[in-house]
Amino acid sequence: MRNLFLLLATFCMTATAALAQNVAGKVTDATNGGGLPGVSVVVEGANVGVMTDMNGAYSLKAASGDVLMFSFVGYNTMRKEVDGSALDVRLESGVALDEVVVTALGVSREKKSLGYSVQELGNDAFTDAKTENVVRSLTGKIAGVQVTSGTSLGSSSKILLRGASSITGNNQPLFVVDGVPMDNADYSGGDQQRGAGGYDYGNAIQDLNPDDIESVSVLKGPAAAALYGARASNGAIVISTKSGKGYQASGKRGLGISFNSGVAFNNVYVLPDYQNSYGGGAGTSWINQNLVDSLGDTPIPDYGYDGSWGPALDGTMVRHWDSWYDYEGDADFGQSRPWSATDSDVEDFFQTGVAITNNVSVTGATDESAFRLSYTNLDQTGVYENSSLDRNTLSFSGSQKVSEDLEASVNANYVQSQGAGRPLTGYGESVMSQFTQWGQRQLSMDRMRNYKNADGSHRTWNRNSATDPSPHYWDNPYWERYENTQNDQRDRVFGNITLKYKINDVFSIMGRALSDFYIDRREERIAIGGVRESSYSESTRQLQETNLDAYLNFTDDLSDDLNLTGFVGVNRRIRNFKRLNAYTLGGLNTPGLYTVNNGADGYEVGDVSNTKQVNSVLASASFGYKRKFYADFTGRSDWSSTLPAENNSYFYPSATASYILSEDLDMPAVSFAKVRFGWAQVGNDTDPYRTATTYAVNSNFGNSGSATVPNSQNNPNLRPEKTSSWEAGLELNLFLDKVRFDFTYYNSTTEDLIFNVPVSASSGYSSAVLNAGKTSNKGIELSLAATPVQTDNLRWDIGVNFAKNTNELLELAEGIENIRYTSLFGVTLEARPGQPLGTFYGYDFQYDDAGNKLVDDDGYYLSTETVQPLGTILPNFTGGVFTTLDYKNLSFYALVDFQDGGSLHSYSNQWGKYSGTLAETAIDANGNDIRDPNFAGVVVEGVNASTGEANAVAINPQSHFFYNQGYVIHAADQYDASFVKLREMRLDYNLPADMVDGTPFSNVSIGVFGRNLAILHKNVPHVDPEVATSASNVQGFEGGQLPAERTIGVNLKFGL
Amino acid sequence: MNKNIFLLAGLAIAVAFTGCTKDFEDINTNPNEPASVSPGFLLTSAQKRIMDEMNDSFWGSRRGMQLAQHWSSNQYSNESRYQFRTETSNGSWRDFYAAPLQDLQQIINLNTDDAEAMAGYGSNGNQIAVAQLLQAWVYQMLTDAWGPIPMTEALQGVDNTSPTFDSQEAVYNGILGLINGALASMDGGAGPQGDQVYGGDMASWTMFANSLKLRVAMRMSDVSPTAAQAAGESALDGGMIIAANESNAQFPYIDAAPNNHPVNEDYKTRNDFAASNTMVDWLSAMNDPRLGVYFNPAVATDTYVGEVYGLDEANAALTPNDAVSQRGDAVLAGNLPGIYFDAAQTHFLCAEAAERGWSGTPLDAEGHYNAAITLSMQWWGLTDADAINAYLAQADVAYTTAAGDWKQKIGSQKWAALYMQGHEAWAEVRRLDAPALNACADGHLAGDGNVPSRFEYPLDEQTLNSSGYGSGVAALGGDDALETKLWWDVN
Repeated sequence: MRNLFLLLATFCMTATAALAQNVAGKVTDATNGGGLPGVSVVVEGANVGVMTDMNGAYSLKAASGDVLMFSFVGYNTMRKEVDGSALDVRLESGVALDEVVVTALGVSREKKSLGYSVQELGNDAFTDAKTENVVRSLTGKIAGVQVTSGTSLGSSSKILLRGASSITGNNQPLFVVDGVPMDNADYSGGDQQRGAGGYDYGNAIQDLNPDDIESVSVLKGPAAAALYGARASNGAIVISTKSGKGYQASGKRGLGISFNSGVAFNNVYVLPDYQNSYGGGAGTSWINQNLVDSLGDTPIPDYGYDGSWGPALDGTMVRHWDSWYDYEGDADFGQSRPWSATDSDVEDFFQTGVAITNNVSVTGATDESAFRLSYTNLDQTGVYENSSLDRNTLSFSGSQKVSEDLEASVNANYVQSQGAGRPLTGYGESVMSQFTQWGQRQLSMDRMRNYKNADGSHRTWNRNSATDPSPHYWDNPYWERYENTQNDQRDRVFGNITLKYKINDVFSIMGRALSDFYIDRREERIAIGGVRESSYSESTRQLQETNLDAYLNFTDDLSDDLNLTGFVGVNRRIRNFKRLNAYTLGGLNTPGLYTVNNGADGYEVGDVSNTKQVNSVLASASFGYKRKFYADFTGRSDWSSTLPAENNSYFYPSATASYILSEDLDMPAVSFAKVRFGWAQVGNDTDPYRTATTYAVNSNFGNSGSATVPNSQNNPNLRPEKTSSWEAGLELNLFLDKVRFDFTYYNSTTEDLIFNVPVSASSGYSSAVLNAGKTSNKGIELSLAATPVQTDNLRWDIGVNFAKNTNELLELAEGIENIRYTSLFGVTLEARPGQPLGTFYGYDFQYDDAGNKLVDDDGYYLSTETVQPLGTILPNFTGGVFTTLDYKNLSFYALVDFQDGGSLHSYSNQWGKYSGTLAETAIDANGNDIRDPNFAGVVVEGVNASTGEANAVAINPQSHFFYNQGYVIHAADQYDASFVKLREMRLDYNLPADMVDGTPFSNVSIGVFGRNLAILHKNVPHVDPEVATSASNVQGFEGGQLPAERTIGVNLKFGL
Repeated sequence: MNKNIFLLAGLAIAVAFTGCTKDFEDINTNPNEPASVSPGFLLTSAQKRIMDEMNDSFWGSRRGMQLAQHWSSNQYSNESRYQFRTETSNGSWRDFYAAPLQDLQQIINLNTDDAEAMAGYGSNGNQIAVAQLLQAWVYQMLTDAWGPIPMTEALQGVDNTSPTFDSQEAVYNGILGLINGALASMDGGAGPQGDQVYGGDMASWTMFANSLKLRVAMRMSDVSPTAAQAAGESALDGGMIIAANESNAQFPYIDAAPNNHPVNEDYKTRNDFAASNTMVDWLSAMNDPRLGVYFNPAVATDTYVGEVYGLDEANAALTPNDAVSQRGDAVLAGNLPGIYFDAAQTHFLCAEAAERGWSGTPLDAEGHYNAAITLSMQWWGLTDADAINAYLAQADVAYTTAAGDWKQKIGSQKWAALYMQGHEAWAEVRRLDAPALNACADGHLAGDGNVPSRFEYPLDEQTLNSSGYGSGVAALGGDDALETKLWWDVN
């Protein structure tokens, strides 16, 4: 501790001493406003110069009137006269030619030399409008990246680059952090995925800390990622974290400290429109009190029914659910209150969630070494009461030159995230399910808050009857929040150790060990006294992935015009997974004691472990000719333990080429033009243990063992999967880069897809592992940006990202008619040849030739006899429109993103209509009270199937919402998932240098931001069309959706 | 020098990395699941899973017990009004075919292909026999629920993922083939290990085989009387039938999860069913002592009141649970046995065989009728002989004086005795057309309003096996509808 003070004191003295005649400022990128590190700042005519630090800040001694020259590779050099002590400049990336991006295996390459599409984002994209899951920050910012997210508090975010190729396997890109392939497992169960209940624990990539990110490169498509192997066949997201290297390179020595703090507030902003005219009950009569003596004369509602087809909320005095708890001091006991619309509705159930982030980082450098140490704490409470997420990240990176030729570096990260009180999702026990899909509309949240009697017993609105307080189908929602709790913790360590040795000017060698390790522990509790059998369960998952790499790199100018760089390397990947879970049987013995030993009938324990190893040899060669022709060749061969011995090896090559057209083009309007072409083939293996036949072991019956033939049939003849793809692109910058255009077309085919194909159960198996399909993805990606206004003080940029992907299942193995992902309430999500992966099937309306719905003689819609395709989860196109406006020290950014098409099945709509909670079940579009006994009934729009006349038969509204809706005709609750969302807005203000003069602070900036501010357009009523309950391939089932949240926050960054 | 060392090291690493795939077989050997198990484990699993599914809340309670009108819904009454959820059809189909039927097939395959290794778990012939008998039992239940089903092409895995459906007549012949094959396969050696039903006692399995054959024959008796009589008489020949409760084929559930009775498990968290008025009214009218075992009096009135069968949701929900009789304590017990075949059933079959003039019944029709009722009461713990005799002596009960023809007498009493065997009760109601069950009080939601003749095929077969599904609909000789009569259901 004393040392720290000494250090700080020394640092402050140094800083103060240097302040006297300083000129300080910040150099930023005019395009994205980000600080530019490593910019050379020189006083013209004097032998004085410095480089900007990692934030783009600099300070040097200069006199008023001196001219400073700012220069940086890839940017137009700028000269500015010193006028005072502060001087900020914005450098134009005039010559984009030399922009450097991080590509596969962390190799930095000039972007112009690449034959495939790469887009990069800087730290600001992740920290200025922070969310706890970095994947969400990619939304709308990069063409061809489709992100689907749940709500806050550590829920899932699914990301797809250029669509999905695998049917049941992983379609998400590989995440690589400082060379470490990161696990992004989801572990969600089938019910969770199809909106049928469970907790959303999110996917594991959310462990990444936004504050530590230096840059993110998105490598779309296999050509970019061939070198990462099969896992990158869906593309790769290559993340570099901050280190002390930039600081060292800028010439700084000693220590630098920076702080970044933020607070964000989350609020629920999409809730269904409910009806408020009719209360709970199966019908409009009060309960039959005459069947039970001594219940008195006051009307008794139907507490046990979880729908709202009950009596009109007309103020009749009734015994509400909470008037039957005969406990001392219970003022409601025996009281009657009016049967009227609630004064405390669903929105009152939710609170404002608060997320506070604090980050401090220390950077240091000497001539031989550099390091960065960073600590981040995220402390978040959810919109659901009693829910929280707490994440601590400690990250260290350091490098040391051991000798002139040998450098050692280490990067280590420790992340601990703790979740508690995550809300249940989906149809089933979730509170949204009991508010929308089922439930009684007259209930008051305020009154339900008192969820426990004096003796600890449960008070629920859904008591079985006046005389029977036991819960029928639903727990009190507050009981659900406070008694049935869960918590989880994941401790994760990842990082690498790297040795680089320079053999000579041509050859260097690198060896490294990369590791990702975590232990993920989950505990779930169900209290005694609720609807569900009380229980306690815990599960622990442990994952370790180790990669050992060695590369021989070479770079050589073969002639003045021809340059060659490349490497040959080897990689071994070992992945170990273990899971141990235990749960109580037969309920709990002792209330409130949550241990597995407390099971009334004992407990059950299960364990699973699996191991996989892949050995690889890989090589790459890149040629550059006259700095305008470029060609890359890569090859990789894998040997995977998961495939049968005779088929366990597969080779995959790639070749890319690019040509800088503008070098040979003499058109002043064209400042840069490039065409590129890439081709790649990527092999893929499968999960462990899919080749040999084994038995599934059940729990013992008494002392007898019990085992069964597994539901899925394994396959000893599996072959590796193969993806072939090509892409072509054009980059064009016009009018001194004021207009920037990047276009890509790609076409990719995956064959011999390995998956677990559902088969007719009469075969004795419900599925079989087969090489069973061929899929195709083709599409375009377009990004267009322009700078319409640019003056010394003002710059306005506007841009759009757009992507369209067409996906098709080309063929399936013989005898297989279709692939079933999942099904719920008769709606299935399938893949059939000729259709996109993920097509909904269910009963549809019958239509006449003119497109009118057909109605039977009783006034009901006719349903098709067989199931029909109802739409696909895949959108027609996606994208985002962004704008930035920079005026002096103010910077404004806004992002609108959109999705056109895609289909979702909404069980909130389906069951909300069935159970009479939603607005339209009481008041129709014309404002008629359709349940009024005097109202004639619902006449559905359509044509009588036998007469051809317009339907005129009125039907009872309850029957209408039963028979004419998704419960019977699935198409009725199938919706278009298009949306336009105001995704992000932020306003940042960098304090001018003269304002922070005389303080120990530098680079002070403050910003306000908002995320998910508004849904500007959608076509599905009552819910948010963006549905994600897991990161799996099963998407598009909305059930009891957690309400969408809006985030508004403030950020403060400063350095010492 | 220094640099050469690095190069050499690099080369060595490269060789070490790639040369090493010889561990792959070990690495890819599943440590979590065994490559071989005792066939006894498969038998235990199959015996339990059949009964788990038969007593499951959807297949057993919502369908079997409600179609027999033993129970009524007190909420969500769709199934009691003949609207069946497609999801539960999918699930039940899968839970029989891809689970117990396949496990039993595996026992047969192992004892055929790897006889020597399997001989230590019971003689090959006896293991095969028991597996075939349980398959026969399941196939009969499945074909009686749907009609034509896959049998000859079923259970072949990826070799045939689109099995053709066999006509119900073919299935019935196949079932008889399985039973006869099993009887022939029994070889006097040791019984199978893992047998929770009879503990490997092959004499009991012989009784089971003959009793099941009698039931199969009787189901065919209206449509194929000659073949039925031949099969029935061969079953009765020799007297090896389940004639006493001690010989019942039942699965011995234990009063602790996960080995407790499924109805007990379901009741822990839900109470969706109450006594149906059909059954309460019949038992009350007969002064039947089983009323107090099958059901409890309504809490509110302390009298036996059945919930009206086939109410719509609103009306079902308006009836407080306290106001109607709930299921009895014995019914909800965790250790209630799951019934494959009981002696009461055999005696009812024998009574009918006697009426039909089949030879070999030990007693006359009346004797078997009285024995059946007596055994049913005794099984439910009603052991007071005087009370039973008093019951049998009642004019409404006594075989000679009870109302109706022999079909109606036997049908009604058999229906009452088949409590907790909903699917068998439903099948016999369809075949004997007795007793007359109630129409749904608030109308039916699907079918023609009569007790359904069958279920519609699961949606899964339409989408995963469309050719098989087509062959099934063709073999049905009518629509894939609830009211399409099965082959044996000629009246």
